[in-house]
Order: sequence, then structure tokens, then C-alpha cells
Amino acid sequence: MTSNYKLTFDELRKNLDRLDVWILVLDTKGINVWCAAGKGTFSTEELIYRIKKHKIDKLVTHKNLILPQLSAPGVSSYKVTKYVGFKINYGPVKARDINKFLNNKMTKDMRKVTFNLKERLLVTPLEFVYSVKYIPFIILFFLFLNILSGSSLIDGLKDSIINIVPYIGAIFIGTILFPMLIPILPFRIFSFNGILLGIIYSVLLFNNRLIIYDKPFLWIIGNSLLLISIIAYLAMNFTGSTTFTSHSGVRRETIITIPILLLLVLSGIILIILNAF
Amino acid sequence: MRYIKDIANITMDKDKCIGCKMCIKVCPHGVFSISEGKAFINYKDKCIECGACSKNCPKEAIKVSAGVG
Repeated sequence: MTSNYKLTFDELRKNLDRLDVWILVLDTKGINVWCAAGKGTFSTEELIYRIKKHKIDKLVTHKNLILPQLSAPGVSSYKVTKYVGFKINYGPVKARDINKFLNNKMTKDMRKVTFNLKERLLVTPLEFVYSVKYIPFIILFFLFLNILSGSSLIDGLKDSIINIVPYIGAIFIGTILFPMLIPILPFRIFSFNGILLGIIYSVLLFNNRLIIYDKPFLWIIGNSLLLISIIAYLAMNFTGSTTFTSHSGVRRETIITIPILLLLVLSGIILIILNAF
Repeated sequence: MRYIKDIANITMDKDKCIGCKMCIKVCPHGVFSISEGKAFINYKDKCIECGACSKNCPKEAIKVSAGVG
């Protein structure tokens, strides 16, 4: 059994090459197995429906159905067996291990989900690109302040674009560096690790007293607060992309973090505005 | 890599367990272990509340507050 997410289906087909098996595809609205199982579309009901609809019992003489390991959150295997009479076996997480499974050479770790560096990096580019979309808005904010405090449009724009560079760095840190560093970071709450990285980043950035950032104290603190908030928020956002966070845990993290972030962001904006006038 | 300690919403009624080991099989993080013929929650902090165990326990011995995953 599999979902009707193209990538999943193609991967399965590829790994079943030259094997004498049938594939039954469930309508999971184009979503992959694990997400569909959690969402309720790769379900006991959908499975029973498809088996009955395509009269699988008339198609094969055996009574064995192999389900992907990660469909388990959506399927009550004992209920399926009760309704359609087929025996359910959960196969490995990955399609490429199916051959070993069929030859009784599967190991226990093939039923487990990992989140190593390569796997973490795979999900980061999307988050980076999504976040970079907001850069123009921050440029506009700086430009607005510059113009209000008397600078010309050209000078204001130049200054804003120079000021935005640390923010692109912050987005990189929050969406790409943080996921890479997770195993060595001290806190369990993602946003706290984000705040830590933000503080280190701000100190490194502004302590060097780069000529282009030879700015007043208020400006440095204000921007640091914003940079820290952005990194903390992006780090917290990553809880949704991991394989080891729980819903209860993320709820706790969100409830703790949002007030802190609001405080940091408001303080940062106020200081930057104060600095401009 | 571990997330927040002692927060996973998962409980198990040992009396209902028949030792079929389905929970051990379907858990993607190895939360369950077996002892004296019955399963038990061994690594609660590894639980991501996916609900696979509770869905596949034929005796409905496990309760999880499963989110959408």
C-alpha cells in the first residue's frame, strides 16, 4: 500500500523493480505517507474502502498486505484484518529496504526514523527562501525611518540596504545554521537556542566595530534585539520540520516563546526609532 | 537530539496488555520495551505523539494525545 504523492509512488515503484508484487495506491490527496497518516487520509477507512473497491481478494490468492511503517499512525491494522480478512504486515520506513524486508533480512533500525545532518539540511532551503521574502519589508522600515529623520531618498535607500545585510545573515542562521547545530546546542527549547545564537551573532557582528556599522549604542542594541528575535522565531519554526518534537512540547514552547519575542521585538523597534530622532 | 522532558501525553494500562508487541513494532522512535511478557513505556521523552501505538494496540491499552504530525 502507498500514498498518491508522486515522489513516494515513484520511489516505491523503483524499489519494487523486478519483484512480483501488486501496488495498491490510496487517495491521500497527494500527500506523503507519514503526513497523510497523521492527518487521517491514510486511514483504516480509506484502506478498507480501496481493498473492497478493487476487489483485492479476487486479485490475489495470498492474504498478505504490506503497509509502510509510517502509515501506522493512521491505520489500525487489527481493524483492517477484522474487516477484510487480510493479514497486515508493516514493512520498513524506506522503500529501498523493502527487498531486505521481503527476504527476512530487515533490521530493527529500518523501522525507526532518524534526523541526521543530511536529513536536516534537506528541509532547510525551503524555509530560507520563504523567510527571505520579508527582507524588502524590513528595507522599507529602515527607509521610512531614514526619510522621517531627514535623509534624502537615495541616501536613505543606500543606508537601508547596508543595514539589511545582518538580517539576511540572521535568516541564514535561523533557517540553515541552527538546524545544522541542533545536536550540540545546550537547550531543548528551540527558541532558546535561537536566542543564544542571536546573542553570539550580534556580539560578533557589532563588536568588531566594522566601519560601515560605526553606529550609536541605541542602534546596535535595537538591531541586536531584532536580529535575536528573528533567529529565535525561525528556530522555533523549525519544530514543525523535525521528526522528534511532540505536539505537547511545541505547544509549551510556543506559549513560553511568543511573549518573550513580542517583548524583544517591541523593545528593538522602539530603540531603533528612538535612535533615529 | 532530545526535545522537552516529561511532556509527551502518553499513558498505558498495563493490565490490558497481552504482550503482542505491536506497539514496539510500529513506534518510529523505540519508546516501548518488553518486560515479563508485557510492554511498557521505556523512553517517554522520545515520544512524538504520532499515535501509531495507540492505533495499533488491539486491546486499546495505550492513550496518546495525537496531533496532526
